[in-house]
Amino acid sequence: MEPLLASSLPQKDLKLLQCKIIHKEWFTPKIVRLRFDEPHIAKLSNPGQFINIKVTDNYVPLLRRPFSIHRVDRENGWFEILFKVIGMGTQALAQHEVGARLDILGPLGNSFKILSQNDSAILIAGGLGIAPLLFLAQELVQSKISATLFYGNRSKDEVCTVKDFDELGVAHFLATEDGSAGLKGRVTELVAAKKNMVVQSNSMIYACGPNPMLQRIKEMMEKMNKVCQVSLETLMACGFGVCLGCVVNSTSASNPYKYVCKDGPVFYTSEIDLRE
Amino acid sequence: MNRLAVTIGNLELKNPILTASGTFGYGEEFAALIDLNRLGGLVTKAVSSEPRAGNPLPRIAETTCGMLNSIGLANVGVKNFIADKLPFLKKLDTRVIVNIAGKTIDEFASVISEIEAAGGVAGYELNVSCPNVKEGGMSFGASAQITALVTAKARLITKACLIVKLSPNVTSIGEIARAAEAAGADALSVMNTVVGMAVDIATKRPKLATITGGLSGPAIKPIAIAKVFEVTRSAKIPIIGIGGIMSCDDVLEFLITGATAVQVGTANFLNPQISEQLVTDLENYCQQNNIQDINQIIGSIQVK
Repeated sequence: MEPLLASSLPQKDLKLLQCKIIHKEWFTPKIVRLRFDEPHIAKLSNPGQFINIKVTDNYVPLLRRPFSIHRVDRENGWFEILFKVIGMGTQALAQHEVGARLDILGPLGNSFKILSQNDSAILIAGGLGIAPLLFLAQELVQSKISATLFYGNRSKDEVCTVKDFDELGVAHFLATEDGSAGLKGRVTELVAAKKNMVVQSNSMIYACGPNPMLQRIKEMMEKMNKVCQVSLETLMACGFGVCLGCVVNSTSASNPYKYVCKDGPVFYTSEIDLRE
Repeated sequence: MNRLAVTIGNLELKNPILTASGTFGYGEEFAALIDLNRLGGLVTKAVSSEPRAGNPLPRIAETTCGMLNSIGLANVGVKNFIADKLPFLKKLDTRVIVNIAGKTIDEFASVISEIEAAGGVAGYELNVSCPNVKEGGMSFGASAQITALVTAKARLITKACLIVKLSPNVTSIGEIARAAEAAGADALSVMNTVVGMAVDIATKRPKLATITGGLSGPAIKPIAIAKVFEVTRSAKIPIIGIGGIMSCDDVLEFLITGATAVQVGTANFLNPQISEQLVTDLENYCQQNNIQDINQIIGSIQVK
């Protein structure tokens, strides 16, 4: 690989922190963004990295919950996460209000590689897969790499944070499954519709979303001969390479598995196999 | 005088807090987060002859107050352990116990021989109780006879502290404990995980690829306490209590029941600083309750 403009060694700056919520923003009755006052993570984390949060102070749920770092303000020392209330963990987390302090382990994992050979980037998000891509967009803009966002959702209501991409100067194209905004269909169909744009650019492709979507993107990008990085989400227990629970199938003959928390969460699509 | 010091076989521990195999890597993963030298000891991830990739995914599932795992003894293998992991462990001022896995009795013996040649470890914990492998794990530990054979063979190879880790998934843990003791074990780790299962109601599939796995976490603590109690009635060698320890109260409960030391497992995932914290908490408890020697507490259970 070519020289890296931005990368980090996993766990180099790992700390267990008590972070105060300083802002809470609901996009829908289920999608919420939390901002934490924490200079350590704001200053030292890189796009694609994640944090592991203890969402309650009891054993229900027992395990921490991992969230990718959504956006940082390095100067003012805060960072954000974006999530949807789905299960017990996210429900508990969403109940915390401004002023609460949460037990957070981070920053964890590797990060998106930003290569000097690419003068542009295409970001592909499915649903809450948008979360790490805003931080990535911040860093790309800093590195003077122009970015375009393809963003798919079920419906218009769930389209969130587009304004923040606009403010960074990142152009976006939308797809919704019910057709309420942008192209009617999935984000993979949007990418197919904009195939010329993808093929003709000298872009690195970055994608985040559900595994079936990422597998489809992997296959599409292989056909187009494009290099693609994806950020994965899995169940994790520790988040720092100890429990060995968060495996993903690898394409390497010598080692059948990779660990999402320490080898990832960002992988080149050539490294992993996301088929069921 | 160090009021927390305890003895397991020929091994003096500065305190009874150890970390459980499979929840603490090879120690170095925690070095940035805690002072490893404050621990009584640490037990490494299992080490086998050859590197093992482990089981297919999914490997973990969360349950009420617990988690299921089926990692399948994924590990770097003994040669990489000696080359890459042992140099760090040797520098520590704490007792390093290597958890040993094997598919055959000979594999247990050969892994120990290789590590003995490299030196620098305080003891071995024989993993004859992993519920997630077909050969050498629980299938060995469910048989008193095979447990005795593995233990006796290991005993011939090493003078270091030899610990046998027992499974709760047996008809009589006391019988297995006696067999290990008679074969020369210095201590018993009680207990490994409890076989458990969870099903996804949407897909109707088991949540683990191997269908069943090992349950750990606070959910299993009462089972572990019962097994420790049972083993105290069957064997005389020291017991290391394991199962769902989350707090200093939990540590005390194991010690009172009869464990000489404890291992902290799943709690390391939630709070990577918990093991060191428990040392501090136990010191404070002894100070506040005017306990000069932790051994006064061990086995102090009152049963009518």
